[in-house]
Amino acid sequence: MMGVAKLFKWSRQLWTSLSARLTVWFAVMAFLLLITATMLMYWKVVSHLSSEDEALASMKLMLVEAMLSDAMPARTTVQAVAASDSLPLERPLQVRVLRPDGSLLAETEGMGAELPAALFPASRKPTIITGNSGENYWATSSTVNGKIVQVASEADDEMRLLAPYRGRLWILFGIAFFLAGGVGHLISRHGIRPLKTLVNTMRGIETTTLDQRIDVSRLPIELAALGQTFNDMLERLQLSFTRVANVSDDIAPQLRTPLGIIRGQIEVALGADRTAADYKEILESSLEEVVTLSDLVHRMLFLARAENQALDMSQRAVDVGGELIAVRELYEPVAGEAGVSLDAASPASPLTVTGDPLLIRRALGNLVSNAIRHTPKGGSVTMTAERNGGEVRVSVIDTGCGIADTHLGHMFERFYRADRSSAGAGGNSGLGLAIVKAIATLHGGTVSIASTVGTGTRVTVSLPAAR
Amino acid sequence: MKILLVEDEIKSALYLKKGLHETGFVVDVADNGWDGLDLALRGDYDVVLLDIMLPGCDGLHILTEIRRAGLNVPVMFLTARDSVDDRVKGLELGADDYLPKPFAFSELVARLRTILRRGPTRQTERITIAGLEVDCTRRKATRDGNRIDLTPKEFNLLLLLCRRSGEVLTRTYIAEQVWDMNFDSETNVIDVHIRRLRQKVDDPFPTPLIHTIRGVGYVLEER
Repeated sequence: MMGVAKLFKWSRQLWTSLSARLTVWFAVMAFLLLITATMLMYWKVVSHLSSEDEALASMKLMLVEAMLSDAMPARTTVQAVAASDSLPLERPLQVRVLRPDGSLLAETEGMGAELPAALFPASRKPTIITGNSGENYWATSSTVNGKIVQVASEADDEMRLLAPYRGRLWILFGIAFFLAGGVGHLISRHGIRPLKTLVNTMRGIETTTLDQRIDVSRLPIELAALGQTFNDMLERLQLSFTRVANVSDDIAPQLRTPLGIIRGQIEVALGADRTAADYKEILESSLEEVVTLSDLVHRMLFLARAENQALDMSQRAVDVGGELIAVRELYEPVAGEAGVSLDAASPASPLTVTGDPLLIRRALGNLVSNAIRHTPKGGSVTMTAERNGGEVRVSVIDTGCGIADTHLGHMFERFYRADRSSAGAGGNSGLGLAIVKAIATLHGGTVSIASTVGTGTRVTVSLPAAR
Repeated sequence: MKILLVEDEIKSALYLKKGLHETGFVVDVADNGWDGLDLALRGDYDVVLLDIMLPGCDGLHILTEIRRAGLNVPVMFLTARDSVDDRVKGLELGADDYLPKPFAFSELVARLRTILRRGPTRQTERITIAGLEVDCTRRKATRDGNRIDLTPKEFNLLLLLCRRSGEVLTRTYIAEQVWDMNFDSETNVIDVHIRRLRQKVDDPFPTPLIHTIRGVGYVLEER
């Protein structure tokens, strides 16, 4: 029992190997093909030989008939036909001629003992009969000028003839079986080699060597797709890794500045006795820095959660036109103080998207406050919404200072600031646009930015329109 | 008002106890899960504040046990573990609110008051604070008999400050309540609105009612 279980386990293991599977399939198929082809040919040869014997009997019967019709004596006829050159060697023909009453006129030597006249069929149709020695014959008979002619040719000759050939066939099968297995193994090994190369390359890739790629051009088509997919995945991974590294670089000053202020001013405050008012001032100032820090943490968490799709957002119908008005209402005083006009161009027809109104408003608010911050006195910020095919496009257009082309592509990255010198100034963390993008992505939408230096900037959020 | 605070971080527990005490609450503190559970089941508290990660048994377990014992005491989670899973789990188990750390102390107080006020809400028709009169139904405001002209949003802002008179309201809270907006506080948008409101409510009069609490937010009260 143990043996069976072991064998079963072994075959299960074998079956999990692609190369073993291919080998087995190939060997089985090749072997079956060989057996079928050989068998077919064998039977063809046998039936061909057999029909030759049958034809021989009929042919010789006709010959005897012809000779007898020509009034050739029966004895001469029998001798002539039985000794005919056209006969194959070792295949003696038995010929007999009887008188109409059934008494013997002439016959091949020894025929009487082997094939008595009664065994023969009455018709011309060749029939297999068995002689007294156990030999099989094709037998046929007819009547010419009242004489009965009987002709028989040996029939089971072919089996004997093919016996050594059959033996060799079995040896051939044996060799073919092992050959098919061996060749199958080689072929599958060869076929699977690119896969092994692929695996080896993949195995060599670490977080420090993410720039490595698989050479797809050297892979077979089927694996090239896999290699390309893997390369694409590497590309994304590498990008993420780089971004994480960059973010750590960017976030450090954002954290250090407020921490430095808090630490420093508290240390200084504790260095001497002060009035209650002084302490209050220091505490308030510290609190402001702490709020900055904690807002930063909240914003970072928001982005992280948005990226991991771990944000609980509602899915409601949101009237975009209404949101523009709400945002305008909130930011109008800020724009007014900055001397910038803020307009919301209401769309011609109601535009609806599906999503979280709080998030959509937050995105719009970020865009508008950004625009106001970068627009000089006397300029304008305009919000528009329009339908474009299956999406709703919300744009915030300002007449501000504009952004140089070199920065445009990076504007939605975390902590990216076109104007490096303004880092931290005005409480601008550099996360506003990254949050806008995250919110757009959460809603299945996209963001884009276009700008001309000195003329202004247009940021567009495209969201899928509600059905 | 009696509060049970289950918090293992000593500094946090200390400042929360002090702050809540000064706000007028009586506070019991448990620094581990088992003591917290014991107190919650025995004591007669108006609110239970729970951290999630605690030595002994965690906050979610304490909440489960409280609800299993048939206690309807409001429970609020204060935690640094701010995953949606935790939040959903907490609310599913019957928590009343969930405040992720770091939070503004005033935010905590505002939310506590909201929880405690639940049930029969008192909707005052008219609020009067030092000569400032706000008529909620007719949506009109006067100060010392002088009519104050306000936009609908300005009125809502004043109403919020008056209803919560004496409480410091954070900018985030104000934005949520008045504009239904979860904005990124790197803008000074709420400050500008308050400034506008002050121009109408405070500037023409000798004593200001709207006060800035640095680093926190705004409060409307007579000083």
